[in-house]
Amino acid sequence: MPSAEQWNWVFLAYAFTYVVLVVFVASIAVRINAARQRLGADE
Amino acid sequence: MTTRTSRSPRWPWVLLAISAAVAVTAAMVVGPDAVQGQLSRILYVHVPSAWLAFTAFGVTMLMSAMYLWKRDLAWDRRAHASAEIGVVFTGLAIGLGMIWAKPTWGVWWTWDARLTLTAIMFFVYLGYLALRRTTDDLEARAKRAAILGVLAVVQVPLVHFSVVWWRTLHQPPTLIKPEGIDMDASMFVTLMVSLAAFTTAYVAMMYKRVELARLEDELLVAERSTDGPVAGAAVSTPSIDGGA
Repeated sequence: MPSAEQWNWVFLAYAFTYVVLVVFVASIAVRINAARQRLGADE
Repeated sequence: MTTRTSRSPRWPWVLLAISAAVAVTAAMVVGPDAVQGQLSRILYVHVPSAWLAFTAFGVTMLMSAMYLWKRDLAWDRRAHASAEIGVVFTGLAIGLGMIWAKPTWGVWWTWDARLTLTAIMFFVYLGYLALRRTTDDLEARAKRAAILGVLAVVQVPLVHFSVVWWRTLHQPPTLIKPEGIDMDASMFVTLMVSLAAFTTAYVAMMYKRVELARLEDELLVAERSTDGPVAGAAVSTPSIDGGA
């Protein structure tokens, strides 16, 4: 397999990692904010 | 109910971003593998994902055991947080393995012992998260989850040693084996940098996820004490007689 094609797979892997981690971290942040607002403790 | 007025600290997110930037830079700069070529760079995220999944499930087991011993819900929240993060890392390891397998093996998936056991582990811990949603009773939920959290960890050594115990397409361990490390020094250093970044990410996520678990428990207690959802509790229901 040519090196350029291999790089495509590498970029796909790192993009996948980025999306999964960012979505998970964002979901934690969103849920924390939602819980704080519902508890009426958000400043 | 405990109310907290301070804003959530941002240092875990900053730490996470810095460690990720360092790890990605290292993985892109290191030379390619003599056999796998550029595809070896995928292993710098695939391997730490799998290791952190093992670590997360190990922490879940320890925290679950601590809950069963101390009966303090703080241990349960830590077990829950670590299990959720472990599921994400397991999903990540499986997805990255598939992306690596397609150009290397020619298939996205094969029913190899390592892959199959990892998939089973993924679904068992999804079951752990589902089990936690079966009741609003905090103590009952914690007890059930803790028992499963202790038992389910048996899968971690099964997954790790599957490539030793059975003939598999997945390669045997490169680092954790009696003969020592069989890897070029620059690749080993890059893998360790990536592992450190993933560990930092795990710690940062744990910090925030435990905070979320605490808030969710407080919300559950608040809803129980007000006999309904907290949000909208002040809004009275319209009635035919004008709400008098």
